[in-house]
Amino acid sequence: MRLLFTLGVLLLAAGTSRATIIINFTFDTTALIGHTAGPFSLNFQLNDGSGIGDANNTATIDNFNFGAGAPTGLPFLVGGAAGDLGSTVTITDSSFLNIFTQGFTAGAVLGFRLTLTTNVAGFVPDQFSMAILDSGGFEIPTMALYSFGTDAFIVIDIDSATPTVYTFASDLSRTPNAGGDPINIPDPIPEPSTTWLTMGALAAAAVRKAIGAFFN
Amino acid sequence: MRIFALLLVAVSLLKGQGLSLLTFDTDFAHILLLTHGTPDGLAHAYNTGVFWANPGNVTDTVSLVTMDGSLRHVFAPGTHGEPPNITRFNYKRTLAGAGTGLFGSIEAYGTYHPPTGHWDVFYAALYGEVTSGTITGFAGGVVGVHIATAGPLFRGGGNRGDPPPAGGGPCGPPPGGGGGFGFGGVIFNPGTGEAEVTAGDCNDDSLPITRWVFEFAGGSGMGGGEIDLLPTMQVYRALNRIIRRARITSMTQAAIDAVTQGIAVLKTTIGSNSFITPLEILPSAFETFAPLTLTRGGWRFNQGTGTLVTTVTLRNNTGAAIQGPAAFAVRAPFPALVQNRTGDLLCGSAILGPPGTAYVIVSADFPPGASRTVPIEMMGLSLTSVNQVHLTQAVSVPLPGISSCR
Repeated sequence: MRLLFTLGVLLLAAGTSRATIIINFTFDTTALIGHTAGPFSLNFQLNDGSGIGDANNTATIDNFNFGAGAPTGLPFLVGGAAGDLGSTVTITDSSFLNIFTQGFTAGAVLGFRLTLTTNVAGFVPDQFSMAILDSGGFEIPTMALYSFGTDAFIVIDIDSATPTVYTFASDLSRTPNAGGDPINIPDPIPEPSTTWLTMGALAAAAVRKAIGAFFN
Repeated sequence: MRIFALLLVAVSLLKGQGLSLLTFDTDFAHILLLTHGTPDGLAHAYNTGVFWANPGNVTDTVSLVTMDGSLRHVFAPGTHGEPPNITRFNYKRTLAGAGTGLFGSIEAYGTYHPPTGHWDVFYAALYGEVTSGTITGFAGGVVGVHIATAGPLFRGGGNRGDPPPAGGGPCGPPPGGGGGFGFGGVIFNPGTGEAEVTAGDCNDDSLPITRWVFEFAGGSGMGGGEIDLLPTMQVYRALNRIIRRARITSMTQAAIDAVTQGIAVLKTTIGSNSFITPLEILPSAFETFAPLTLTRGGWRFNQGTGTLVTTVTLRNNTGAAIQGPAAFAVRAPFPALVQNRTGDLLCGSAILGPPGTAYVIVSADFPPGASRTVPIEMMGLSLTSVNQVHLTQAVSVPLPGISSCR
């Protein structure tokens, strides 16, 4: 399990108090190519902790990279989910359950950028999670089962403006529900968005320059 | 890829727009409180949907319970009336049959609208279980739910043997006819795992049943008659089998009020899985015993298994070690919904919950600062409310009723 503490990628949108984290994820999905449990689907969820669908958080997933693969079929949308793997997926927690699911043919890599607002409200946090489903709609086994009770690759409980990002490798001790051998997908590599880091660095440099000018 | 059958029924709530009628492409609303009874055959008690009725002791007593759980009024059998000082209520009418170990209850929830004198009833449910022996004879009026559509509230109810209304629907007098609303047929057949309640089954009480829950929503008392907006009642599966559901496609102003007042909840349906979500967490919903603290994680829906998964984290924020095991209770409409529970309480407590409450034991010691996260997996269907899942904890564990039940 890899934990990414998102303090370093916290951004405050100008003019608002809405915190946002931006992270790039890259998976090695070589093991999915030709696997008998396929075809596979990507499953993103942003479920509302309050239960009312307060729409206080949004996940935007874009910059998809399927390697030699590609999205397939139409998305299956629940609640505040919209978009397409071919472009951009947005999920707002406007219902209790907000789920995006769409098929894809796997290449050697799977990458995407997640932009997630991190507004905290209530006792039960909103949760963003991502899983890969097999041809039967079951989650590919991951190590998240032993801590979160679910076979997700990514879990983010939005319990602060800088929530911990949990990522997991697949679980090689269990076979997919749809059949075949265990699937080996290493712990994905989450990286803060370089675009925003660059912007942050530029902003920091500008602040330093302004402070320096003030005192000089 | 698996085709997810049926429809997603998304709830789109238009708040604060003053609409007199909203169309909901979904089932609808529940109220948060469930009540719970004591095994004396009378209709009082709080906090769960289970009520014991002594065998053969058929009662017809109605209790009104405020949302804080205090008993405000009890109607004698056969009477009705609405104290004006109650604005939210929980209606319970006990039923019993001639079986052994039978319990059952009917609950209804709603609000009182002083300007109109209406009691708007949003939700009713019947829970029951046969703990030993075989129970039959539960068709029709025996489990009739009494929500009047005209005339005094709580009057009427379909009777066993009543013909179904023209065009189908539950047994009993047709909606809007002043007689009320009833059920027919067998609810749950453990032999097959499911049984339907259909209009033609009004007299079918031949199958044995062991456990059931069914619910319907909507309606307004005291001249309301809005129940006819419901195409039919909704019936949920007991345990893991769906029995039959109907969709409510219209929602009355009363229901909107309930939602905006935070006393109703919304339901989302994905395929054959339904989830009812709350609009508020009751202040009493979360109780802890010091010194461990309990925090909740978010929810994830497992489309393959149809379960909802969340986490509970127990943490020792003190400077001293706490010896385990620790435990917490998960209050759900049916304890069996908690898939990974350690067991069910034989004896209840004010903190942990009533008898039958699911509990989870965490076999670990807690050094200072240590925490342990435990997944909680719940079956989706007949999950009366996600936030009716009340999580409580105890550090020392006198849990499964090893001491005497008081």
